[in-house]
Amino acid sequence: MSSPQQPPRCAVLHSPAWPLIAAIVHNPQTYTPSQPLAVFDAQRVSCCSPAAWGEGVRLGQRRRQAQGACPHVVIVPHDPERDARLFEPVVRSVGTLVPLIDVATPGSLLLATRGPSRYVGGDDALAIRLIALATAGVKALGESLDIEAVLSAGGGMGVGIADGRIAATLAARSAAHRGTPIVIPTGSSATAEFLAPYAVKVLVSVAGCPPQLIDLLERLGLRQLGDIAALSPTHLVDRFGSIGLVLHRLASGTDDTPPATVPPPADLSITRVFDDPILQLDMLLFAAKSLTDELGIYFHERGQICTRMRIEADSEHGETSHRVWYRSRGMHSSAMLDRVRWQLDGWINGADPPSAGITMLRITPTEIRSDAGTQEGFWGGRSQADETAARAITRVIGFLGPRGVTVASWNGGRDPRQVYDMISVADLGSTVTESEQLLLRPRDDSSADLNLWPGSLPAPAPAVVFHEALSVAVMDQRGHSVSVSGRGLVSAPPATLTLKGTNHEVVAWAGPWPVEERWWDERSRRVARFQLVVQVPDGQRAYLVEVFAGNWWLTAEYA
Amino acid sequence: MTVSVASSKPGSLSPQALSALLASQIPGAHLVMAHERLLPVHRVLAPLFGVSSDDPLPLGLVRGHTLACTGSAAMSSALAVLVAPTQSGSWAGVVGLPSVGVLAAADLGVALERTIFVSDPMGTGNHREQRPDVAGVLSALVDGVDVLLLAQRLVTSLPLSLMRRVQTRVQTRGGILVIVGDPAPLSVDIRLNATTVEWQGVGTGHGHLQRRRVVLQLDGRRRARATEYDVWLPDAQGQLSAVVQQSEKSPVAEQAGVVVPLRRTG
Repeated sequence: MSSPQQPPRCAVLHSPAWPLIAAIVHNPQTYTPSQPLAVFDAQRVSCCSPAAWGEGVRLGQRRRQAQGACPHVVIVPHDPERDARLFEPVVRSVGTLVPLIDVATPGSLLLATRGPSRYVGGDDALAIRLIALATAGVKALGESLDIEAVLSAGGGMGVGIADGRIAATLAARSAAHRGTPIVIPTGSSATAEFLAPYAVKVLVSVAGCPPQLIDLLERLGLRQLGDIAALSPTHLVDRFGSIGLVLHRLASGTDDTPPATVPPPADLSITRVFDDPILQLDMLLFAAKSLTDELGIYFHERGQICTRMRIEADSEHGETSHRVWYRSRGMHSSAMLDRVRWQLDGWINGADPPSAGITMLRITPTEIRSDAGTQEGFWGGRSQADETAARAITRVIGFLGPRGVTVASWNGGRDPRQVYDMISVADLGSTVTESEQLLLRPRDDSSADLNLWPGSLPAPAPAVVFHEALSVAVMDQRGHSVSVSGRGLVSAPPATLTLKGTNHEVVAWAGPWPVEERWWDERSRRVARFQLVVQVPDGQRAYLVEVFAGNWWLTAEYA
Repeated sequence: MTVSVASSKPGSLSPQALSALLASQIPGAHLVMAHERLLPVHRVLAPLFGVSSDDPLPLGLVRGHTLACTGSAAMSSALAVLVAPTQSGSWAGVVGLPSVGVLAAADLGVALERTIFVSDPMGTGNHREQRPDVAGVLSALVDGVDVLLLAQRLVTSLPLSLMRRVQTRVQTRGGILVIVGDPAPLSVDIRLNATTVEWQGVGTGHGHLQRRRVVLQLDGRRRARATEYDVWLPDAQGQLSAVVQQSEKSPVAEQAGVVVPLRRTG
């Protein structure tokens, strides 16, 4: 291990709820800054406006919980491409002062302050300039809007300047809350003092530490970064091995390199030169896909994953688009392609498009770490079958649209139609790689939940469930329709079931099992369920029927 | 080059000896015997497929085959076929069967985290020009999953030549095709006919459905005669179990004590 060194001084510009700003600017008729707004990603609140926060909406809530806390919450669709495209003018505006900018995600960017800070006269002046430039960038998007209100709906813009990426990111986050830029004085002791009260959990999102390690730290009683920094590095190395030293450096602000990064080989860069300049985005992305696939295979073979890369595009007239993208969790080929799309879409369809076709596209991975996530498993873990199935899912979604491919998710309920929800695979995550991970998540242990639903029918469950119930008739011996009284009494034993115009003799029956659900709102449902076994020429068949408002419906068959 | 050998005559030559013999006949060929390209079957179904049920993972389904599940318990028996492959790591795709009982599948033991449900690519009354490429969808699924469950309605509404191409692709890819219902005129390798004998547990106005006795009949190409076997499908836990002869005398009486009372709720 080399001796600790001073990490480079960085500035981070951060908007906590950029998707909301993008949505308001993109569609000012539908969304106004005063509404309580929330964005859902993978069925959880991923960001919300201060108005919604004030009503009790919190990050990570399910839609139902959010609507329970704030019934008039306005749900903004999750659209990372809109967010990225509308962030481009902000990046360009800041780019007039600082040429080299890292875009971590839409809404957050990072730059080295050494040059710019000297140019504008100090870190404080730089922070004010950055806010002014970013605000001008947002203003360029919508002239008529009240920019202050729009920014406050997105939780403001925070600028944090500190030694190292982690401290600067954390400073920018609290600056957005506070409303004024935060500048941490240079020097490792000041940085350590700033970092000390933060929970160790932040290392997952800002430094890419494995969650298992953070969990272990918390169970050991090391809850804050200050707790780790207070320990002797020797003890940490004793307990955790070399990662212990990295942890100590991260917590004490003396080293900024995320754990387990490996420097990329010097010549790792992949370029495609187009003989015929291309201006269509689709054709460029098609070409980019081969580049990202090639990189994906390169990293996959080495068990590595790219966490930071630079994407460059040149037009025939010498205009360039130049961005650095960072993702702490790492980028597979599909995530890389997403970044290429965001960048090129923002450039070609943006306010300042290139005047001629694109002649060159280059992707340069600049930070790589070993990949723990896609190692093929021997027991459990990911296997070759999972990979091919995930590819097939992507292809079928291409043919049938996102609603065409669903997976079952435990929902609970008395009705066999409700017990499992069919969730679109596309809803599980914004990118294919994320949905793959969610798909492979082990199923919740549903047996424990069964007791939560008194009145649900005991096993066995019907093998065929009609989501649109079929109308049937159930008659007694004398040919009258069987009815169920308000007290749950049957008028006469069922004798025949008429299904699609054919009469079947009922040989055995059980019920009625009344259910009264949701009597408090307009979705109230009061039904009585029966199991009927009927005689058909080739044996017996068993059906689940229910009587609702005097009509009989076939809901399931025990096929 | 890969040469598939359909089956070896039992008793005449050991598989290893046959393999060695063929390797000497065809120089440079890598031989894959049919019995090496197998997928597991449910332990209870193992005797039906002619393999030992003592094996923790009885390998009985020949990859590349098409299996048709017919009879009044067709859906349950098709789901029972999915159980062992999905539990051992294969993926399954269910196409055009929106009515499949997911809870029943979960109770039988189908690994839902490796099961995808695909809507009917023929669509329901959509405009003809908007109809997606059915062949593309099916071939993508055949490439991606080991077990593909198709509705009979989908199979019979497609041109026969297309389904034959899908079957050929399943053979080269090494998955299996399971069709719920009789796919005539499409020819299949195995027919699994499930006939309900009786439902138990429900009387006249009392009890609830507990288990069903089903006769499974397996018939197919290259089988001397149909094999028959009695099973509970589903049993009282919603699973598949073999009918044990000694408990035959009073199955209802023995189960009568465990009726779960249903309370009025709301």
